[in-house]
Amino acid sequence: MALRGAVSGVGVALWLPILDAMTDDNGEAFAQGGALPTSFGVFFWGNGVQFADWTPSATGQGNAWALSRNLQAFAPVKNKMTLVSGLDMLDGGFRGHGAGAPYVLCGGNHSKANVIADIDFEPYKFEQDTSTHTTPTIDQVVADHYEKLEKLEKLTPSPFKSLETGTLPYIGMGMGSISSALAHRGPNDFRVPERNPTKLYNDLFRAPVDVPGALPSDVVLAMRRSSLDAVKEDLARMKLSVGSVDAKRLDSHAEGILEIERRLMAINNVGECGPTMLPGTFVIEDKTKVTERNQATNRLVVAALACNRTRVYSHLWSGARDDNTYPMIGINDDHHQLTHSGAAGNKTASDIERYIMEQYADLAIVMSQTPLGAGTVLDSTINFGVSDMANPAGHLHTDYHLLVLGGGGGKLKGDQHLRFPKRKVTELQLTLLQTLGLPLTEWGTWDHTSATMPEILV
Amino acid sequence: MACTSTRVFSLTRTLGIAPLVAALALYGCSAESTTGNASGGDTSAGGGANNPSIPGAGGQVDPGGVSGGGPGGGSGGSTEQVPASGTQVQLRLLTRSEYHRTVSALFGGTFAQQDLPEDYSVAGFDSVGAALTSLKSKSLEQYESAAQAIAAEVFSDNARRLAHVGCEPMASLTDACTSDYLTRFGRLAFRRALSPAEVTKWTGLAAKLAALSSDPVESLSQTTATMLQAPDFLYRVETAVGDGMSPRYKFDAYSVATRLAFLLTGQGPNDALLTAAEQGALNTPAGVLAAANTLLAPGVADDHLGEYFIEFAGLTRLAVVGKSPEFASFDAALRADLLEETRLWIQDVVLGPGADAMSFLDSPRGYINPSLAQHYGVPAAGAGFQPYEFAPETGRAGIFGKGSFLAMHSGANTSHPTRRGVFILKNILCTPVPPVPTNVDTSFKQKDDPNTPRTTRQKFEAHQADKLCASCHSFMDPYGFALEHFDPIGRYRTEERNLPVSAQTTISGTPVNGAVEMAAVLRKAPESRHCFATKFYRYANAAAEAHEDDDSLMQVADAYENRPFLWREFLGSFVSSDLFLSTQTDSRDEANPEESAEEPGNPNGL
Repeated sequence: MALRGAVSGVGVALWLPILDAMTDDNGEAFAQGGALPTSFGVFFWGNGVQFADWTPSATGQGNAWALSRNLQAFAPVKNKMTLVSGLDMLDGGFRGHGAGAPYVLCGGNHSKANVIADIDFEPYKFEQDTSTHTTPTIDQVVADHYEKLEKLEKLTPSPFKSLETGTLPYIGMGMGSISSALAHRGPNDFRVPERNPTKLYNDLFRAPVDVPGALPSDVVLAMRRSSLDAVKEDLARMKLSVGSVDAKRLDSHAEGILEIERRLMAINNVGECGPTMLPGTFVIEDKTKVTERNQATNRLVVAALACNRTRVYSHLWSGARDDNTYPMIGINDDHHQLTHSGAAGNKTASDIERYIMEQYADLAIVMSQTPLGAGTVLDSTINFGVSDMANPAGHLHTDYHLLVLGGGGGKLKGDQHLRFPKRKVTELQLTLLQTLGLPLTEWGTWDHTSATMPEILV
Repeated sequence: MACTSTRVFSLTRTLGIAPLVAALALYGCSAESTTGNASGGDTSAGGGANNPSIPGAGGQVDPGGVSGGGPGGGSGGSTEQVPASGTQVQLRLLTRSEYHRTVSALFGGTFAQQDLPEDYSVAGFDSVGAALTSLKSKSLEQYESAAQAIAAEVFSDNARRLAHVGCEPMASLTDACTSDYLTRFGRLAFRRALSPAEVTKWTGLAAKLAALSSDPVESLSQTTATMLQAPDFLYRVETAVGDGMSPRYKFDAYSVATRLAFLLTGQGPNDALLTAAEQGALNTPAGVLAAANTLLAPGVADDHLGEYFIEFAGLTRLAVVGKSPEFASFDAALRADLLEETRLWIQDVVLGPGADAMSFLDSPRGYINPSLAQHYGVPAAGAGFQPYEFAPETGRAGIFGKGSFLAMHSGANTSHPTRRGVFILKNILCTPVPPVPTNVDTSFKQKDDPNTPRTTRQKFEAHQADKLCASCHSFMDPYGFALEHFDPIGRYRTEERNLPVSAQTTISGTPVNGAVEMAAVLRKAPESRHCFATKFYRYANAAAEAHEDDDSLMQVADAYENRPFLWREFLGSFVSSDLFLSTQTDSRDEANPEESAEEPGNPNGL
């Protein structure tokens, strides 16, 4: 059966035909076998939340709770939304933005988040321009799991093991790779988010072979494969002569080539599914067009999910401890600075957060409007919304407000506000990972939690 | 937590940054117990920062306790000299600038700027990040597209192709012409001679592609593009060899040539330098110095040498720093002008013939065009950029008077004395700055009252009303207070909100009023000179300074204590010393030792 979803929006309009060949008769599985996957995404923004405008007045499910001021934009998808508030980092004390990011993205211990031993002879191993994640971020853990499944169960591979997008280039005092990238596979081993919709479109939907001359595309493809093979040989040879740090870097390099080859395998699918219009042209530094640029990115991400170009996606709206201004909504102060500027500043910071949530909600709403299988893209995803701080004014890690969007393939209850003071962020992370099928009984290199949060599940 | 910070202590002692010791104490850090000196941190025992034998200079910070100790008095760590045996290899990815300069040199001419992966700045320098970051598929595709575009540009032009290849190969690409070209090109691209097996490999690829395509030009172009994607091109491979006796690993001749060329010219070694390496001319410090002097000849690599100071001053992101609409004049054109002014000024006062590089801190000179004259509020000096001597009453001194620096290190609508002060402490004085204390509401306590306006300084001074906040702000903010005559885009001001602006403060126990006087204090501080050398060491070696190198580093810097800091001379001394020609440890292996213990595999259990 042919599925078509009409999605229109600023910057890009989508018609998303998923061909009969791609799904079974019910549209619930791939024709080759294997269920349509539950995709997983992360949305990250810097500088935490202002509780006054974030915390709903009531907890519960359905009509028992109402969206708070800063979450109003999620109204069309409230039934697929779970807000969990009250959660803590390990002991909830101060550890700065550079500690929050490793914890909420990796369950990681900030004290090890440093790339070079004592380059500044500083005893503070976080919030430095040498900071990095020392363990994989949660999205990459899921991506690795899905890759294993694909091989084990011979599932239809998606061309992109994971997809990384972003909105605002980092502005601030420098937090190393923690601020400049979300998806990490280890120390300094990160995947740079694509902030340019045109490039994102080209990455996702352009034919992966440029034909510079008059050669037939199959010849060009064969030549390209030969070149990649030659490079792989050299990587393997070089790895024999380097130390452990560089060996890992070369492994990552080789893994990148494998990903390119994975895309080449899917070359025949290009053009069968995807947007029919190019996104608009944007200048990353032009803040007057941030909304349009972000919404174009959202639509391309949804198209990628609807067309099975990827199963794992992450979006870095802004980095940890970000100091961007928001002139597109009339705010010309630094975001981070506002969180430390008293009540008036906090109110303005809250307006920024509301705007960010509007952009995040746009992603979820487009998902809800885009068919996939028997449901929608939103039905078959889990999206985890996090920031690097709970209470930014005091740099405290108590009372995190975390978002879970999507139906999780029918496993997430949705339409809930749950408040769990003193329970840990890692409990929610472990629950999401288990829901996605990861065989984990413990999560987090810091608090090593084995507790879960079954309250979010059906 | 028993923090150790021997370097911190020696700096605080000589510069008189006593509050830092108090700030460290807030975190349970005991500087006195960690100097690695039996005298409890008495710098006189082994010499202060003026003495190359800094007590405990070899100590490294270790949250778990004393872990260092090096030449000059540290007792905290092992000073055992372990003989170096075998090899150490470090891979450093080409930065974008290095890539572009190198391909231009390889093929001749210039190419359109390719869409290469973003540089990764760590500890202030892209070169450090280039020794750490990993390549992903997205980056590899960017390199692939760039290589193909560059090769296509050369090979699609018959005359250019013939000049580059040097001969016309057979259609099968199995002839001597092909082999000679790939051997020659490979040596320059990989920065070493290819082994016979490698020549076979690359000629084999060319022949294979020719068989596939029946198009020898396209195939040789593709082979060339593939070599530009090979790890031997994308990474600088630096090999150091131990002799089993000395504790240091000595870089081999090709690696010295590579390190020298990239450091001094921003591109790979040319044929002459590779030949010098092959003929043994780089096996002695004198030989390296001679080669360096050739590369350092004025006019050879001026632009590249200047870019180091742009990074040093933290100016690489000036184009994207946000400012409030009230600073509408700070548009793209003004940002570009300010950066260009800084570049011209560096070429003149830092790198010019006979220039004293420490003038970076206090030179009254600037370069202005009509736009900048208006920005700075001084008379225009003529069309285009012209040198301009700022009078003392303009308050401008060295980098602290440059609009680029002042705008970069401030907020969107505030001069932000803390941010400016932190930058100076960390990057001009190499003094660490502690994080915000535990469980402290970091909001300004005193609320803004529209009926009682305050200056930025008055708001920031409120920090110091709180004892806990004051413990850090009292040593961070004074450096920023000295710059308070400059607004968030670097314009001079005497008033803010109709209130007088004060730039009076105390630096290192010395009362100062404004940037000119602060710059004079910083110039005299040995820490500035040492930090100059330390920062360059990190940039050059893409690593934290090995504690074994501390004394030598200080000695190189202190050679300029009483005379002009001649930058090219310093570079010559540096590159012909063990600080550059050999290494002892790979600091990257020392990072995250506990985490490494959890490897291999995913420490989260998968």
